[in-house]
Amino acid sequence: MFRKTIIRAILAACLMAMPTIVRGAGSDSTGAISITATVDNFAEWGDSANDYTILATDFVHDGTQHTINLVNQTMTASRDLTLYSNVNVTLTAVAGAHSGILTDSTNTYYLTTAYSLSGANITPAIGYTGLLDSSVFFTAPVQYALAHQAGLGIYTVTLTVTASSPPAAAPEAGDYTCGLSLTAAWN
Amino acid sequence: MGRPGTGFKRVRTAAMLATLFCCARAVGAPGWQGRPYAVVMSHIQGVGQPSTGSTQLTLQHDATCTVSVSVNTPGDEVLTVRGSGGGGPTLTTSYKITGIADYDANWLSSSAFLTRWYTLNGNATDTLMLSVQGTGPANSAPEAGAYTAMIVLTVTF
Repeated sequence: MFRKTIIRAILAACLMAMPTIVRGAGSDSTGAISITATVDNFAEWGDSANDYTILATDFVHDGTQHTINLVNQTMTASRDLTLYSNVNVTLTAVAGAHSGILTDSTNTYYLTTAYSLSGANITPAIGYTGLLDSSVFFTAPVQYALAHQAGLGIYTVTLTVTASSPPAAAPEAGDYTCGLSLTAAWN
Repeated sequence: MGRPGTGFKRVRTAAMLATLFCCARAVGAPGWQGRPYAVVMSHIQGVGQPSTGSTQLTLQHDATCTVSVSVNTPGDEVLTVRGSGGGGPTLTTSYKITGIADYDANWLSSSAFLTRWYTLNGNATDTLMLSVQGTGPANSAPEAGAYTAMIVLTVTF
């Protein structure tokens, strides 16, 4: 009887221990997991609203003057635009309000308006360097190439606008306004 | 009273049955099921936009066990464009495991994830949901390309 009890006890112990013995105490199982994320080519204007404004007070001539008060006078405004990009892009401009020409509220008088885009890594199309009259700036040949620099995902595109009064007549007094759109495109 | 030796025969039969039972359990081996695992994440197409992805991991276990996280090579846990030169651009990488009692309530940084271990109780088949998130910088476009990472989950009994 005593021997049976011992044998049963051994058997019970074996039953409890067998799974561990078979698998091996402290054994393990590994699962390798590969993970892939993709970043696409893209360019994106930094201003969340994609809406920039150049105010009358942004124009300057002679250091401090924000208004035209002479004939044949030019004042200049610049606006830095942030462009996030991880790819080479082509910048082009499309005329907006008043065909991109600074025009008075009666839609009758205008100031000669010229534009340029500039910045590090930005190259204008050959033959279109510097300020371009609005009659040229919005035409198809005018493109600006922004060369992406690896690791640099942010660029400053400077839009410069000039407003000039006629050389031999005083322009009508008032506010002159216009608009344009800039597009960054990539392949 | 039975014949002499009958008791030993019964014991021997019981032992054989027990051995068969244990062997049968060993054939359905505990561990990860359905390997290999892969997580393919959503594409990033804008600044500050996260890329996310997840996969289900099935773990069969017949006893309480722990799952730990490791890498084969330091840095493997970070989503990186891996070229021949090394040191490619990276995405801020976060992980979390859900679907089990010992789940992550929040994203863990890749370094914190490597120190995390999970306890799974008893005899069960658990489905762990591994989620991964990659995020580019807030103020610049991340380099285009395929960012990869590799982690190893080890279950220890």
